[in-house]
Amino acid sequence: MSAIISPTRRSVLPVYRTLVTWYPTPFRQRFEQEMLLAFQDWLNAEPTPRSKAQQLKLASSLIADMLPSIIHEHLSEWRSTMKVSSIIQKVALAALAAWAVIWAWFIGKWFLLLPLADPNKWLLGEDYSHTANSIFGAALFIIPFLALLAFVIPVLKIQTLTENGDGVLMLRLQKMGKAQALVAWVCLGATVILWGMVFTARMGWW
Amino acid sequence: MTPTEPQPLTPAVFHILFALADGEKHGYRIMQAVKINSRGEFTIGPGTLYGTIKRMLADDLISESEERPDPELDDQRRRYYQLTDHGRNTLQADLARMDALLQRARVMQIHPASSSKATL
Repeated sequence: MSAIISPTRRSVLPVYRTLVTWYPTPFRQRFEQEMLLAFQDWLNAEPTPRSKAQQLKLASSLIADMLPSIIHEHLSEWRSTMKVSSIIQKVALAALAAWAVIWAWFIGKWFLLLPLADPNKWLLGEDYSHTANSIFGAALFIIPFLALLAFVIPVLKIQTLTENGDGVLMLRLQKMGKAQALVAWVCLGATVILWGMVFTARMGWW
Repeated sequence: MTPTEPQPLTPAVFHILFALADGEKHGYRIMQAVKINSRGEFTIGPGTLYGTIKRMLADDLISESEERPDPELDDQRRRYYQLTDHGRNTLQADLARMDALLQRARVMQIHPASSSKATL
């Protein structure tokens, strides 16, 4: 026996149905029908809103009930489907993309002598400070290493073995996807090259 | 505070557990019971209700009843919810916590009932 709804209140149902479609799909699949039934029952039991003020009160109570719940369910869904490591890896990829562009810009400007703007001045401003320059310079060298950590740490397995009373700490890399492995190898290569350049320059080898 | 000490329930979780204490109910009946039990001071809309039900199902505080209503008497799409043993224990623990607080409030004579008794 489905709930019968009076014609005066029927106009509210499409609004409610629309609001229900804003929930994440898994939630909707599980609770949509029940929510609509419960709402119809609730609407039938409530006194019919006659004045504009009463209609406004009904609409505001509907929104106050639904909106926080919709936001909460989306956050909950997002948390359960998106792992923190995956978010960090996406940030690392974005940082790597920016890093690659800036290095290409530097190489184009200073080695290939292309008619490009000075990247330091363009990115840091005309009168950039020594500190800003240091941070920017350090970032250009450290970003591949941080990205490497973002890809390696999630697959790092720490084991402690006890042999003859001595604890042995073992670090093992679990299998990672081909694309992730490729990015990790590129990051490792870039880190070795960049830090090797810094080390050899500091040693006065060139 | 020890980690095993039970935490106070949120008002929505408490009222839903309380509403289901006397038997299984479907969504709208829960909403009604919540309103009646709280003397109209706490109302719960369908959005809050089903969001909370989802979390309570995941926490094993309630479960969905396997019995479906008679199609001639009720809508087959309705689902009925009931307390689990864990849910009942959690409700009892929260009621005991409130009871202890009330007893303490009476001793301290800050409970309205205790002050009116004192004046009599």
